[in-house]
Amino acid sequence: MLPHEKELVERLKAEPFALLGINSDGDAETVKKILARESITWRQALDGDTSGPWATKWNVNGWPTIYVLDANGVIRYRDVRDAAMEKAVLELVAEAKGG
Amino acid sequence: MRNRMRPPIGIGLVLGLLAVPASAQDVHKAQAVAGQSAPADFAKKLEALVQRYNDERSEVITAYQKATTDEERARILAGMPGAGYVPEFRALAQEARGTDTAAQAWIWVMRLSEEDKATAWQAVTTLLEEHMQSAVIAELTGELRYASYQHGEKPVIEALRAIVDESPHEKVRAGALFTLGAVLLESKEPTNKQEGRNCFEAVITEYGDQPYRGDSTYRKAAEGFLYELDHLQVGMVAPEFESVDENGVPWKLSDYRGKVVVVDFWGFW
Repeated sequence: MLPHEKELVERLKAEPFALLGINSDGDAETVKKILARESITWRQALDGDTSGPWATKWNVNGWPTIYVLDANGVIRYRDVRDAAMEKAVLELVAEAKGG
Repeated sequence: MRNRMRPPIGIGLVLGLLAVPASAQDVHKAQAVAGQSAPADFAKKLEALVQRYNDERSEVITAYQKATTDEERARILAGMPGAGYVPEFRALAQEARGTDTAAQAWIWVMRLSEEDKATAWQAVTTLLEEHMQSAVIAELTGELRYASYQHGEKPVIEALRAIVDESPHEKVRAGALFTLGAVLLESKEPTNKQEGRNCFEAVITEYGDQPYRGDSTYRKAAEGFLYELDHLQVGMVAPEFESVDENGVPWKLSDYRGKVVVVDFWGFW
Protein backbone atom coordinates (compact mmCIF):
# COMPACT_ATOMS: atom_id res chain seq x y z
CA MET A 1 0.00 0.00 0.00
CA LEU A 2 2.28 2.71 1.31
CA PRO A 3 5.17 2.47 -1.18
CA HIS A 4 2.66 2.40 -4.01
CA GLU A 5 0.80 5.41 -2.61
CA LYS A 6 4.05 7.37 -2.35
CA GLU A 7 4.99 6.51 -5.90
CA LEU A 8 1.54 7.51 -7.16
CA VAL A 9 1.57 10.83 -5.30
CA GLU A 10 5.01 11.63 -6.72
CA ARG A 11 4.09 10.62 -10.25
CA LEU A 12 0.83 12.61 -10.25
CA LYS A 13 2.10 15.70 -8.46
CA ALA A 14 1.36 17.93 -11.46
CA GLU A 15 -2.07 16.36 -12.01
CA PRO A 16 -5.48 17.20 -10.49
CA PHE A 17 -5.10 14.56 -7.79
CA ALA A 18 -4.87 14.51 -4.01
CA LEU A 19 -4.38 11.69 -1.55
CA LEU A 20 -5.90 12.54 1.82
CA GLY A 21 -5.03 10.46 4.85
CA ILE A 22 -7.53 10.22 7.68
CA ASN A 23 -5.24 9.08 10.44
CA SER A 24 -6.19 7.18 13.60
CA ASP A 25 -2.78 7.01 15.30
CA GLY A 26 -3.31 9.69 17.95
CA ASP A 27 -2.26 13.27 18.62
CA ALA A 28 -0.22 15.64 16.45
CA GLU A 29 3.14 14.70 17.95
CA THR A 30 2.55 10.98 17.43
CA VAL A 31 1.37 11.48 13.87
CA LYS A 32 4.25 13.86 13.03
CA LYS A 33 6.75 11.21 14.07
CA ILE A 34 5.07 8.59 11.92
CA LEU A 35 4.88 10.91 8.91
CA ALA A 36 8.58 11.77 9.28
CA ARG A 37 9.60 8.15 9.76
CA GLU A 38 7.58 6.98 6.76
CA SER A 39 8.33 10.04 4.58
CA ILE A 40 4.63 10.70 4.08
CA THR A 41 4.01 14.11 2.54
CA TRP A 42 0.32 14.20 1.73
CA ARG A 43 -2.45 15.94 3.65
CA GLN A 44 -3.59 14.33 6.86
CA ALA A 45 -6.64 14.70 9.03
CA LEU A 46 -5.96 13.98 12.69
CA ASP A 47 -8.90 11.79 13.57
CA GLY A 48 -7.50 10.67 16.93
CA ASP A 49 -8.25 6.99 17.25
CA THR A 50 -10.37 4.43 15.45
CA SER A 51 -13.46 5.99 17.07
CA GLY A 52 -12.49 9.43 15.74
CA PRO A 53 -15.20 11.78 14.47
CA TRP A 54 -14.59 11.25 10.76
CA ALA A 55 -14.26 7.47 11.00
CA THR A 56 -17.39 7.35 13.14
CA LYS A 57 -19.45 9.57 10.84
CA TRP A 58 -18.41 7.58 7.78
CA ASN A 59 -19.00 4.29 9.61
CA VAL A 60 -15.47 3.04 9.07
CA ASN A 61 -15.12 -0.37 10.68
CA GLY A 62 -11.99 -1.65 8.96
CA TRP A 63 -8.62 -0.18 8.11
CA PRO A 64 -7.57 0.80 5.59
CA THR A 65 -10.89 1.97 4.16
CA ILE A 66 -10.62 3.81 0.87
CA TYR A 67 -12.97 6.06 -1.10
CA VAL A 68 -12.07 7.40 -4.53
CA LEU A 69 -13.89 10.62 -5.49
CA ASP A 70 -13.98 12.27 -8.89
CA ALA A 71 -13.21 15.96 -9.40
CA ASN A 72 -16.84 16.81 -8.59
CA GLY A 73 -16.66 15.10 -5.22
CA VAL A 74 -18.77 12.14 -6.33
CA ILE A 75 -17.85 8.77 -4.83
CA ARG A 76 -16.84 6.59 -7.75
CA TYR A 77 -15.07 3.67 -6.09
CA ARG A 78 -14.90 2.17 -2.62
CA ASP A 79 -12.27 -0.11 -1.16
CA VAL A 80 -10.00 -0.32 -4.17
CA ARG A 81 -6.36 -0.89 -3.36
CA ASP A 82 -2.98 -0.89 -5.05
CA ALA A 83 -3.30 -1.61 -8.79
CA ALA A 84 -7.10 -1.23 -8.73
CA MET A 85 -6.81 2.09 -6.92
CA GLU A 86 -4.23 3.35 -9.40
CA LYS A 87 -6.43 2.34 -12.33
CA ALA A 88 -9.38 4.17 -10.79
CA VAL A 89 -7.33 7.30 -10.11
CA LEU A 90 -5.78 7.42 -13.57
CA GLU A 91 -9.16 6.96 -15.23
CA LEU A 92 -10.72 9.77 -13.15
CA VAL A 93 -7.76 12.10 -13.67
CA ALA A 94 -8.09 11.59 -17.43
CA GLU A 95 -11.83 12.24 -17.12
CA ALA A 96 -11.20 15.42 -15.11
CA LYS A 97 -8.75 16.76 -17.68
CA GLY A 98 -10.94 15.70 -20.59
CA GLY A 99 -14.04 17.36 -19.18
CA MET B 1 10.43 2.21 2.64
CA ARG B 2 8.45 -0.98 3.04
CA ASN B 3 8.08 -1.14 6.74
CA ARG B 4 4.46 -0.42 7.34
CA MET B 5 3.72 -2.16 10.59
CA ARG B 6 0.13 -2.89 9.91
CA PRO B 7 -0.04 -4.42 6.45
CA PRO B 8 -3.30 -4.39 4.50
CA ILE B 9 -6.27 -6.64 5.14
CA GLY B 10 -4.95 -10.12 5.87
CA ILE B 11 -2.69 -9.26 8.72
CA GLY B 12 -4.98 -6.53 9.93
CA LEU B 13 -7.64 -9.15 10.43
CA VAL B 14 -5.28 -11.44 12.27
CA LEU B 15 -3.72 -8.79 14.45
CA GLY B 16 -6.79 -6.68 14.92
CA LEU B 17 -10.06 -8.51 14.95
CA LEU B 18 -8.86 -11.53 16.81
CA ALA B 19 -7.47 -9.36 19.56
CA VAL B 20 -10.86 -8.20 20.75
CA PRO B 21 -12.50 -11.27 22.22
CA ALA B 22 -9.31 -13.11 23.06
CA SER B 23 -8.97 -12.35 26.74
CA ALA B 24 -9.62 -14.76 29.53
CA GLN B 25 -11.58 -11.99 31.19
CA ASP B 26 -14.17 -12.07 28.43
CA VAL B 27 -14.63 -15.74 29.07
CA HIS B 28 -15.43 -15.01 32.69
CA LYS B 29 -17.74 -12.19 31.77
CA ALA B 30 -19.70 -14.24 29.28
CA GLN B 31 -20.15 -17.01 31.81
CA ALA B 32 -21.29 -14.59 34.46
CA VAL B 33 -23.83 -13.22 32.00
CA ALA B 34 -25.02 -16.68 31.15
CA GLY B 35 -25.76 -17.36 34.78
CA GLN B 36 -25.20 -21.04 34.34
CA SER B 37 -22.75 -23.02 36.36
CA ALA B 38 -20.36 -24.58 33.95
CA PRO B 39 -18.35 -27.14 35.90
CA ALA B 40 -15.48 -25.14 37.32
CA ASP B 41 -12.78 -27.42 35.98
CA PHE B 42 -14.04 -27.04 32.40
CA ALA B 43 -14.03 -23.28 32.79
CA LYS B 44 -10.52 -23.37 34.23
CA LYS B 45 -9.30 -25.56 31.40
CA LEU B 46 -10.71 -23.14 28.87
CA GLU B 47 -9.18 -20.20 30.64
CA ALA B 48 -5.76 -21.86 30.67
CA LEU B 49 -6.02 -22.75 26.98
CA VAL B 50 -7.04 -19.22 26.01
CA GLN B 51 -4.21 -17.84 28.12
CA ARG B 52 -1.68 -20.09 26.42
CA TYR B 53 -2.97 -19.08 23.00
CA ASN B 54 -2.91 -15.37 23.89
CA ASP B 55 0.61 -15.57 25.32
CA GLU B 56 1.91 -17.27 22.21
CA ARG B 57 0.17 -14.73 20.03
CA SER B 58 1.59 -11.80 22.02
CA GLU B 59 5.09 -13.18 21.58
CA VAL B 60 4.63 -13.42 17.82
CA ILE B 61 3.25 -9.86 17.61
CA THR B 62 6.12 -8.49 19.68
CA ALA B 63 8.64 -10.25 17.43
CA TYR B 64 6.77 -8.99 14.35
CA GLN B 65 6.95 -5.42 15.53
CA LYS B 66 10.69 -5.72 16.16
CA ALA B 67 11.43 -7.29 12.79
CA THR B 68 13.24 -5.14 10.28
CA THR B 69 12.88 -6.95 6.96
CA ASP B 70 9.91 -8.27 4.97
CA GLU B 71 11.44 -11.75 4.94
CA GLU B 72 11.74 -11.75 8.71
CA ARG B 73 8.19 -10.48 9.11
CA ALA B 74 6.81 -13.14 6.77
CA ARG B 75 8.66 -15.86 8.66
CA ILE B 76 7.39 -14.60 12.03
CA LEU B 77 3.80 -14.34 10.82
CA ALA B 78 3.91 -17.92 9.58
CA GLY B 79 4.37 -18.89 13.24
CA MET B 80 1.19 -17.09 14.37
CA PRO B 81 -0.81 -19.56 16.49
CA GLY B 82 -4.09 -20.58 14.92
CA ALA B 83 -5.46 -23.84 13.58
CA GLY B 84 -2.95 -25.76 15.68
CA TYR B 85 -5.11 -25.00 18.70
CA VAL B 86 -8.32 -26.32 17.15
CA PRO B 87 -7.98 -29.95 18.33
CA GLU B 88 -7.58 -28.83 21.95
CA PHE B 89 -10.53 -26.45 21.84
CA ARG B 90 -12.66 -29.08 20.10
CA ALA B 91 -11.73 -31.76 22.61
CA LEU B 92 -12.67 -29.44 25.45
CA ALA B 93 -15.97 -28.54 23.73
CA GLN B 94 -16.83 -32.25 23.47
CA GLU B 95 -15.75 -33.00 27.02
CA ALA B 96 -17.80 -30.09 28.41
CA ARG B 97 -20.74 -30.76 26.10
CA GLY B 98 -23.91 -28.87 27.01
CA THR B 99 -22.17 -26.24 29.14
CA ASP B 100 -21.39 -22.61 28.36
CA THR B 101 -17.73 -23.58 28.39
CA ALA B 102 -18.45 -25.89 25.47
CA ALA B 103 -20.15 -23.01 23.65
CA GLN B 104 -17.11 -20.81 24.28
CA ALA B 105 -14.80 -23.52 23.05
CA TRP B 106 -16.83 -24.00 19.83
CA ILE B 107 -16.56 -20.27 19.19
CA TRP B 108 -12.79 -20.63 19.46
CA VAL B 109 -12.87 -23.56 17.05
CA MET B 110 -14.75 -21.39 14.56
CA ARG B 111 -12.46 -18.42 15.05
CA LEU B 112 -9.29 -20.44 14.57
CA SER B 113 -10.51 -22.39 11.53
CA GLU B 114 -10.14 -19.68 8.90
CA GLU B 115 -8.41 -22.12 6.59
CA ASP B 116 -10.79 -24.99 7.27
CA LYS B 117 -14.30 -24.13 6.17
CA ALA B 118 -15.86 -27.48 7.14
CA THR B 119 -14.52 -27.37 10.69
CA ALA B 120 -15.56 -23.74 11.13
CA TRP B 121 -19.10 -24.43 9.96
CA GLN B 122 -19.38 -27.58 12.06
CA ALA B 123 -18.68 -25.35 15.06
CA VAL B 124 -21.40 -22.90 14.00
CA THR B 125 -23.91 -25.70 13.44
CA THR B 126 -23.15 -27.21 16.83
CA LEU B 127 -23.57 -23.84 18.50
CA LEU B 128 -26.96 -23.33 16.84
CA GLU B 129 -28.18 -26.84 17.59
CA GLU B 130 -26.91 -27.27 21.13
CA HIS B 131 -26.42 -23.79 22.56
CA MET B 132 -29.19 -21.62 21.15
CA GLN B 133 -30.45 -20.96 24.69
CA SER B 134 -27.06 -19.73 25.88
CA ALA B 135 -26.10 -16.08 26.25
CA VAL B 136 -22.68 -17.05 24.84
CA ILE B 137 -24.32 -16.97 21.39
CA ALA B 138 -23.88 -13.17 21.63
CA GLU B 139 -20.22 -13.78 20.80
CA LEU B 140 -21.15 -15.92 17.82
CA THR B 141 -23.20 -13.08 16.35
CA GLY B 142 -20.05 -10.93 16.34
CA GLU B 143 -17.98 -13.66 14.73
CA LEU B 144 -20.56 -14.15 11.98
CA ARG B 145 -20.01 -10.57 10.83
CA TYR B 146 -17.13 -11.63 8.60
CA ALA B 147 -18.09 -15.27 8.10
CA SER B 148 -19.71 -14.69 4.71
CA TYR B 149 -16.27 -14.21 3.16
CA GLN B 150 -15.55 -17.81 4.09
CA HIS B 151 -18.95 -19.48 3.89
CA GLY B 152 -20.90 -17.32 1.48
CA GLU B 153 -23.71 -15.06 2.60
CA LYS B 154 -26.60 -17.52 2.40
CA PRO B 155 -25.77 -19.86 5.32
CA VAL B 156 -24.60 -16.90 7.40
CA ILE B 157 -27.85 -15.02 6.80
CA GLU B 158 -29.85 -18.15 7.68
CA ALA B 159 -27.89 -18.68 10.89
CA LEU B 160 -28.40 -15.07 11.97
CA ARG B 161 -32.12 -15.22 11.20
CA ALA B 162 -32.41 -18.35 13.32
CA ILE B 163 -30.72 -16.59 16.22
CA VAL B 164 -32.97 -13.51 15.87
CA ASP B 165 -36.01 -15.81 15.97
CA GLU B 166 -34.96 -18.28 18.62
CA SER B 167 -32.64 -16.79 21.21
CA PRO B 168 -34.30 -16.08 24.57
CA HIS B 169 -31.77 -13.32 25.31
CA GLU B 170 -32.44 -9.76 24.23
CA LYS B 171 -28.71 -9.02 24.02
CA VAL B 172 -28.16 -11.97 21.71
CA ARG B 173 -31.10 -11.03 19.48
CA ALA B 174 -29.85 -7.43 19.28
CA GLY B 175 -26.39 -8.62 18.23
CA ALA B 176 -27.81 -11.03 15.66
CA LEU B 177 -30.16 -8.46 14.11
CA PHE B 178 -27.33 -5.92 13.92
CA THR B 179 -24.92 -8.36 12.28
CA LEU B 180 -27.68 -9.55 9.95
CA GLY B 181 -28.15 -5.94 8.84
CA ALA B 182 -24.43 -5.52 8.18
CA VAL B 183 -24.18 -8.78 6.20
CA LEU B 184 -27.30 -7.94 4.16
CA LEU B 185 -25.99 -4.46 3.32
CA GLU B 186 -22.83 -5.98 1.90
CA SER B 187 -24.86 -8.33 -0.27
CA LYS B 188 -24.94 -7.92 -4.04
CA GLU B 189 -28.69 -8.58 -4.04
CA PRO B 190 -30.69 -5.32 -4.08
CA THR B 191 -33.54 -6.89 -2.08
CA ASN B 192 -31.05 -7.87 0.61
CA LYS B 193 -29.86 -4.26 0.84
CA GLN B 194 -33.40 -3.11 1.50
CA GLU B 195 -33.79 -5.80 4.13
CA GLY B 196 -30.50 -4.72 5.68
CA ARG B 197 -31.94 -1.25 6.09
CA ASN B 198 -35.02 -2.75 7.73
CA CYS B 199 -32.80 -4.66 10.16
CA PHE B 200 -30.98 -1.52 11.27
CA GLU B 201 -34.25 0.38 11.62
CA ALA B 202 -35.59 -2.46 13.75
CA VAL B 203 -32.38 -2.47 15.81
CA ILE B 204 -32.94 1.23 16.57
CA THR B 205 -36.59 0.73 17.48
CA GLU B 206 -36.20 -2.45 19.51
CA TYR B 207 -32.69 -2.31 20.96
CA GLY B 208 -31.57 1.31 20.49
CA ASP B 209 -30.62 1.95 24.11
CA GLN B 210 -28.76 -1.31 24.62
CA PRO B 211 -24.98 -0.95 24.95
CA TYR B 212 -23.01 -1.79 21.84
CA ARG B 213 -19.23 -1.47 22.18
CA GLY B 214 -17.48 0.81 24.63
CA ASP B 215 -19.72 3.81 25.27
CA SER B 216 -21.72 3.29 22.12
CA THR B 217 -25.31 2.11 21.85
CA TYR B 218 -26.99 0.00 19.20
CA ARG B 219 -28.78 3.16 18.11
CA LYS B 220 -25.53 5.00 17.37
CA ALA B 221 -23.96 2.00 15.67
CA ALA B 222 -27.04 1.31 13.53
CA GLU B 223 -27.34 4.98 12.58
CA GLY B 224 -23.75 4.77 11.30
CA PHE B 225 -24.77 2.05 8.85
CA LEU B 226 -27.89 3.92 7.76
CA TYR B 227 -25.78 7.05 7.18
CA GLU B 228 -23.34 5.04 5.09
CA LEU B 229 -26.23 3.61 3.11
CA ASP B 230 -27.78 7.04 2.48
CA HIS B 231 -24.67 9.17 1.94
CA LEU B 232 -21.62 7.09 1.13
CA GLN B 233 -22.58 4.91 -1.81
CA VAL B 234 -20.95 4.98 -5.22
CA GLY B 235 -22.59 7.76 -7.26
CA MET B 236 -23.31 9.99 -4.27
CA VAL B 237 -21.49 13.26 -3.57
CA ALA B 238 -19.23 12.55 -0.59
CA PRO B 239 -20.54 14.39 2.46
CA GLU B 240 -18.54 17.38 3.63
CA PHE B 241 -16.15 16.85 6.50
CA GLU B 242 -13.73 19.15 8.31
CA SER B 243 -10.64 18.28 10.27
CA VAL B 244 -7.18 19.60 11.13
CA ASP B 245 -3.81 18.38 9.93
CA GLU B 246 -0.77 17.58 12.09
CA ASN B 247 0.20 21.26 12.17
CA GLY B 248 -3.21 22.32 13.45
CA VAL B 249 -4.25 23.72 10.07
CA PRO B 250 -7.96 23.19 9.43
CA TRP B 251 -9.11 21.83 6.08
CA LYS B 252 -12.24 20.37 4.59
CA LEU B 253 -12.99 17.82 1.93
CA SER B 254 -14.55 20.37 -0.43
CA ASP B 255 -11.21 22.26 -0.54
CA TYR B 256 -10.21 19.54 -2.98
CA ARG B 257 -13.09 19.97 -5.41
CA GLY B 258 -11.62 20.00 -8.93
CA LYS B 259 -9.20 17.23 -8.04
CA VAL B 260 -9.56 13.48 -8.02
CA VAL B 261 -9.38 12.53 -4.36
CA VAL B 262 -8.46 9.34 -2.56
CA VAL B 263 -9.75 9.39 1.01
CA ASP B 264 -7.67 6.84 2.88
CA PHE B 265 -8.58 5.94 6.48
CA TRP B 266 -5.29 4.60 7.80
CA GLY B 267 -3.02 4.18 10.79
CA PHE B 268 -0.31 2.01 12.23
CA TRP B 269 -1.45 1.93 15.83
